[in-house]
Amino acid sequence: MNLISDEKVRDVSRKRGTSENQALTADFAKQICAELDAAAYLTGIVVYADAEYTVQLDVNRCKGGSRIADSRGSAPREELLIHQLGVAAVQLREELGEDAGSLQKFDTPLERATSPMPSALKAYADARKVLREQGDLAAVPYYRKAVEADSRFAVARSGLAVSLYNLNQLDEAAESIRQAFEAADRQTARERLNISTLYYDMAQGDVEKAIEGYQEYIRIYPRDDVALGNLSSEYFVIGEYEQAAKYSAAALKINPDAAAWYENYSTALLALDHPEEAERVLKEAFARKLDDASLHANIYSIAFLRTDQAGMRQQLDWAEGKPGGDSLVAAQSDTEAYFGHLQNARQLTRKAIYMAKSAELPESAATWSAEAAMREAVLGYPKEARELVHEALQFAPHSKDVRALAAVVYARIGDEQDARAIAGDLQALYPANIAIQKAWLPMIRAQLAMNKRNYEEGLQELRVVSPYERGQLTGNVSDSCMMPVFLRGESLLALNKSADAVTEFQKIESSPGLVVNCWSGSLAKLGMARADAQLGAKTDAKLWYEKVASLWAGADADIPVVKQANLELSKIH
Amino acid sequence: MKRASLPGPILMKRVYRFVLLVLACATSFAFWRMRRTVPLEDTDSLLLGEVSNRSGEAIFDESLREALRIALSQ
Repeated sequence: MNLISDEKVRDVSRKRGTSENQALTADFAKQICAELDAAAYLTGIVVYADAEYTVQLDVNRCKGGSRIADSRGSAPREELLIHQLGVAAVQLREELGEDAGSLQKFDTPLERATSPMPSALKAYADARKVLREQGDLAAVPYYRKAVEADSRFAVARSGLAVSLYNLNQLDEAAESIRQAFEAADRQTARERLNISTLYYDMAQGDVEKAIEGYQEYIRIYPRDDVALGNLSSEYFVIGEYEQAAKYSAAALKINPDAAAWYENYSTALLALDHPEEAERVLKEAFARKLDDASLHANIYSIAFLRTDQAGMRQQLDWAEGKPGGDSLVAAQSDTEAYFGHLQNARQLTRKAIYMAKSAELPESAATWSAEAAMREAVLGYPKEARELVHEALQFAPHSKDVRALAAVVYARIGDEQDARAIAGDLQALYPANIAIQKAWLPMIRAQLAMNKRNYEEGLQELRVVSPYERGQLTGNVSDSCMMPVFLRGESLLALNKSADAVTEFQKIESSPGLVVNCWSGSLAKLGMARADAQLGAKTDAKLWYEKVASLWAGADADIPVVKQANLELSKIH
Repeated sequence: MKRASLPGPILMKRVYRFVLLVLACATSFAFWRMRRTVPLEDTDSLLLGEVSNRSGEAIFDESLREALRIALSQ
């Protein structure tokens, strides 16, 4: 037997032209039963009379309305009502046919599975409702209220962790899921499975263990879209987009009203260079009245790939004043930088940072700052990069993702002591984190080796990263600059291994749906030009240089990389 | 990429069909007397309706239904 999701109920209510918040009374439940393909509906009532609370639960068949199960419980005090509700629920499960072994095995008292404190439970219920109606940002204060009232309320802690994660507040999300994980006695067996997997995923960053956990979760609960969808998320980190698409599509099939799975599926399709399919998926989401900044960000990416200025502008207009709008402004900033409009890019980065800070999303502000710092570094502005990275570390001093990116920036601009200090911390603090240990640390070490012209050593470091080189390595940020590939290309170029360098830069060039408007997209073209020039393939080199020149036709005149590229083009003429 | 914490459709543990059959035979008379119908099938879906709060305590608005969802999803 399955419980119909509230999202599905809202969808049917909307289609019937009734309010999405229409109370699910027995009458209304009976009316919409057939449309929801439900066999029965459960309703309840709680009253206070004669100095006690009484709860009555009834299950009626949709067809004919006959009662097939009922139970009741009473409690002298409100604190005891939650326990009695749990007892009544067990009685219902029994009447509905659940076997004794299962009832005994899955028997966490409700006050432990949730909270014995009505105020905490109320705040949690409010969080769930607000989450469905308004999204993660609006839900966070309610989750916080729930865990303030009951600090060991595990389900509320895990809900808070997931919302924070979706808002790119990864450090706080990790702490929240750790606390949920530690409250092992305060969760059902099913929630334990969910929380422990999320713990390996968000707190430990142990992708392999998280994948194993989600697969086990799916084996036990094959019709749970959360397990399928969250599993898809893991595959983004390690760059396995076929798997990401497969599991997000499966999650979507079960729950076509979850905006998160539209984001995951469309992002995977984009990464696999299927923008038309991605667009179709996104249109389905909008047709269902689902809305989220991430969906608009993907539409923006598709418009970018089609050089559809009006389409991009439409999404940016949508972002004004919207929750999550900072991510679109940050994307616009990347686009400006991609075309060499660095002054505009800098202004937009300031705007994205301001928006994130205003929404009390410090780690997002730090991410935009650190990503802009990386851009400045590769375009030849170490001073600006240093300032931005300092700022990023002030916004989110404990964020592993921000610190990892900061260390690469420091290494790139030659602030080697700072880079090594952060790398040392990350190595010690996150021993099981795949992205840190197998991607970020090797990249930092590779860049440090490259600074000393030890390119072979750099390439050796980057070999470890190969399986993850297409991964979306920065937490919940759905883009990949394929930085390990770019560094490898640069090293090979420096070693005059031109054909191998072409291979690396070509990987970036042939992944437009993954790289989208990242700085590495434009610089890979320059890499192709240089590698071809080194090979003596003058015609090809000229073609690539001209592509770069066309891309940077309106670029700010003083950008060192742009000036150098123009100089190289003039020489090849 | 996005994660979710919301429970999806919930699969409740069910008795094996043959046990159900035996139980159904053994208790059919009692069920008949109680004018009850047989419980739901494995593949059936249940719509969780409202838990109407007439206790006068606003704190139970929505919250009991949410708790009930967790209780049924064990």
